[in-house]
Amino acid sequence: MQGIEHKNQVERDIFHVMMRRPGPIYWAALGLSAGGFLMLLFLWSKIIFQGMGVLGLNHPVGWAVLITDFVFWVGIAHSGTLISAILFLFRAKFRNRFNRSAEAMTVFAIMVAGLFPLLHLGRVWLAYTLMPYPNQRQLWVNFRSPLLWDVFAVSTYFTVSAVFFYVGLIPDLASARQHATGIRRWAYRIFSLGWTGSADQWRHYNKLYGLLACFATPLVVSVHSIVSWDFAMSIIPGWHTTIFAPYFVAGAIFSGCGMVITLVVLMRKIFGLENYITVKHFESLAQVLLLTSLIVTYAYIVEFCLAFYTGDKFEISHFTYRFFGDYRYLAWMMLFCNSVLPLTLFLRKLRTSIPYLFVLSLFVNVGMWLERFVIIVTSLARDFDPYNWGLYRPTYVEIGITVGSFGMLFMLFLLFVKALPVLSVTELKEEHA
Amino acid sequence: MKQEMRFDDEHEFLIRLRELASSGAAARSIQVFSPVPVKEVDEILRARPTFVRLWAIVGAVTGCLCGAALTIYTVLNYPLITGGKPLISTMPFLIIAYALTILLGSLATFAGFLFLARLPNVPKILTPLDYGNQFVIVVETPDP
Repeated sequence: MQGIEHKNQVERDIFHVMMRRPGPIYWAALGLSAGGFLMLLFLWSKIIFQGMGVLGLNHPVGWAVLITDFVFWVGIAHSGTLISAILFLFRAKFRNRFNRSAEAMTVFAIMVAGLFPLLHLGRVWLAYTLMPYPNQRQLWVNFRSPLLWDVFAVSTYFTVSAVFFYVGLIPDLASARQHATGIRRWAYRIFSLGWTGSADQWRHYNKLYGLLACFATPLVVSVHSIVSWDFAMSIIPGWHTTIFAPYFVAGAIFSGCGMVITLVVLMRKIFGLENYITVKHFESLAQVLLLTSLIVTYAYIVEFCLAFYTGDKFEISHFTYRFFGDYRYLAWMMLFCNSVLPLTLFLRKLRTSIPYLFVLSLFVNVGMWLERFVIIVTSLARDFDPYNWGLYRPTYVEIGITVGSFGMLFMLFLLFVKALPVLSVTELKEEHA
Repeated sequence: MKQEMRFDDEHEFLIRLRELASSGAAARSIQVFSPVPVKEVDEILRARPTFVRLWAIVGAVTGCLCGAALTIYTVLNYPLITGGKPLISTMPFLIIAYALTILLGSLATFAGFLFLARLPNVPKILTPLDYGNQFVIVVETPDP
């Protein structure tokens, strides 16, 4: 960090980014992403008014793009918790350059992910039946169903991530209230809860932060494991495998790191945060990306070999179909994006090149989306009985909703960068205290 | 009578605080405000350990018990065998108990923090106590 000598300067730099009037590029980006989100809402209304027939779902492929989107967005959320909780417990210094953006991204990604089960319900007004609630008929939800585990896991994840995100903001909002004016000042005053920074408050705060990190850490492992069990608990070839949980968790962190790089590279450039988020910090994140890519690649190999090692003809024919059947282009593209391209990060020159990392992160995002699509759709398209085989093609509604979900995430993130400190001001000040 | 001392430098602030503590001033009469957490302050003022962890453990245990109670009660309330599994299926029910352990543990920890740190503090929301980036020691001495 060059030229930053004092914590006052940190405050001025970060709050200036937050409070200065946004330029035309910001408004254009916000308009575009809000347009995408509105398109999602419009297409959702088509599902509500015209029924599930507007989607490409049919027998035998009953889960496809919308469930792919759900798994993808839950996965994206994971890196936020990894960076904020696990790297905090390991005292990894580079985390404080990414933790605020990653935590915000986590909360927004779970909000986006949470839409998809609702979209997929069709009759969304019956969504309350997903939760156990007392009723006259004394009917309860089936706690043995992995789909219900998902309801508990994802809602817990959202709540804990939102609390963690907010807790990290409290001292920063207390600093921000001194720099803001008008309604903004009042908003910061209210949400900083009357924080004074007394020794007592800091003592309780530090303990709270550490304990929340401890509570959030097992969630990194459990949430995507539970999501993977939506598939692994069934007997469908390609889904019914014990390696799904660690395989999904590694994939989630991999895709999440990819999305953090995508968002932070843009944020750093637009808001001129080069002094705070340096190439060295990106290099550390690129190393996490490389490590998780290797784990994902290892999982691909093990998954493939397991199928052949079992001698089970359904498993063998499924994996042959995955890489040589109707969806082969997507499967090979997935391997290229997730396994081959990240190997270039072994070269220091490339992993310290911000433009290269940005382009790579886009490929990682695409590759991880394709991974979920390939797993979900190819398994359903070819199960045991050849009379039960069929192909799936998404309709414009599914494609539009997927594009709109990206619009929703970017819209929320753009609102975040102008409303809240994009870097943890307190942690940066601590570094220079 | 209140005496307020402000410092730009953390090192000077700690030296003064040590002097005050060694001069025999009661820890209760000394209040300290800082822009960042300073771990030496707790040692100097011999602060008692925080009880936030107690809230965490109570919340987590309550969550675990609630998860177990909810799943077991509901299957016994409407006994319906699905998938040939026993009514009280330990492994699936553990997942619900696990999720609720984390959920209630986190929420209770946050609630405990708010309670112990006396937040939200309405008077301070209306008129915030802001010292900027200065380290502040406030000593209360009895009126002569």
